[in-house]
Amino acid sequence: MIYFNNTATSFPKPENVIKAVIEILNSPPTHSSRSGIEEESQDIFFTCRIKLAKLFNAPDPIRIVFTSGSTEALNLAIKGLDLQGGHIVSTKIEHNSVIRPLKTLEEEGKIELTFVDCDKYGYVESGNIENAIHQNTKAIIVNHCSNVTGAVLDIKTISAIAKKHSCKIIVDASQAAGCLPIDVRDWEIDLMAFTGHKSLFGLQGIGGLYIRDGIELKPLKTGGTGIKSEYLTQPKIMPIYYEAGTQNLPGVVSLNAGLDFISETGIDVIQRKKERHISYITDELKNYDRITIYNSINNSSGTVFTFNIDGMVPEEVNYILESSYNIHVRSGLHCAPLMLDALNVRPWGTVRASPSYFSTDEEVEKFIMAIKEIMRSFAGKK
Amino acid sequence: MKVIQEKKIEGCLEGNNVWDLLLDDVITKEIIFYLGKKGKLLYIDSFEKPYFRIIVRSKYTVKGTQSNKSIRVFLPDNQNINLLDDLKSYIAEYSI
Repeated sequence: MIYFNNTATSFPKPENVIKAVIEILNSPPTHSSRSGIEEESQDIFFTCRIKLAKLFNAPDPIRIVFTSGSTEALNLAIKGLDLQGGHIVSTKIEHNSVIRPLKTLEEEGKIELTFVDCDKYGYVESGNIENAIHQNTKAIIVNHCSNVTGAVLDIKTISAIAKKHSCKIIVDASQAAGCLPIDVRDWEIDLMAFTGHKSLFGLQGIGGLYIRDGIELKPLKTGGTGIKSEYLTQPKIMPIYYEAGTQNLPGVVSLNAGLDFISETGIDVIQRKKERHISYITDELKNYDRITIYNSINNSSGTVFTFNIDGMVPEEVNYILESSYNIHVRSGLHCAPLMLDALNVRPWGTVRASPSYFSTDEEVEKFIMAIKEIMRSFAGKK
Repeated sequence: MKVIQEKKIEGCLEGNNVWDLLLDDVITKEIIFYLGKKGKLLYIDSFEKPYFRIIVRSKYTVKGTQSNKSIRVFLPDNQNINLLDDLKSYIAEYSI
């Protein structure tokens, strides 16, 4: 099987990730998830937080809390901040993990909401975000990198705009974490959500939220923490204030190993290889009249090849790739429905291919060959 | 040939009434052309595995790949899934 759906979930995982997960599953669960508060060096949770803090240049590892993924992290950020009565600026490149919590708050009459337009490549000009700010705007919520086109927004500038207007900035780094350089300290990010199962090479079900010192959120959940059990309410101690319940040890172990892989291989090396694949695919197919390519050219992560073939619905291209060639891509709206009009792909969306660091040149060649065959075979057929 | 399992396909294509039908044997060129009698058949054998699409007007569209064991059926959004039973009966009538 050729797996080109790494934007959704990365596969395969590095060997050291698989080994670490197997080891932890074969070990008795004496590895307390809470021991790190007192015994930092022994605790995989704290070790992982240190590595994440290094990757994101976060000043303090305990300001990173683990969640089940970006969706939970974004819900914690959006519902945990006091946004009641305020106006929120977001963008049309957001994933449903941002759109749905915001639209829910809007429907409940708690917030006003503006989604700023993007261009046909999914890029959002920082100036347009500033123009959308009202007097009562409380937060700007932006996707660092589009999962549809790979467009990368200028988070440093957008964050400066937020500071200028006394707004909080929440960044969805689901695609960017492990793929692009991130500097939460220099960029003065207030809250940043990330997931472990994409470019950080971890398992599904692990992610986290960076919470800048001084930001206090209302927890999404309360309950057991393994320490401070005499408290009858949630102990206001970082990070357990936001981490009630049994923690995802295999997930954290996988994330920790994924971070080791990134550190040893080099984020730039990983990124360059993915960019090389996308650049080659784009060069090979861009001159065909029947193909429309949507991946961002400038300000791009260079990790996705998003396209449509004239006269074919994306689902059919996807189905043929999967069933006739055993090539797994993704078609549809990619959970980013507000981008449809900007890309002019209503109602069916696009096809998205996202190779990984582990994808081979032969796999890329086979994908290109398959697309050319599909275009040739469907010429004149509807 | 029989349909031994059916599964509704959920995905980003919200609003579609899409079903996968698992057959008890692999799909041959003969059964593709048998199914094709129900409507307009598109058969492409230049792919690694030949692909087919059958459009039965006002009823459904069937897609599949030769040598696989499942077909995908697209019903109109508002269409009753009883149409699947008609298709399953037609498949059951097929014999080599």
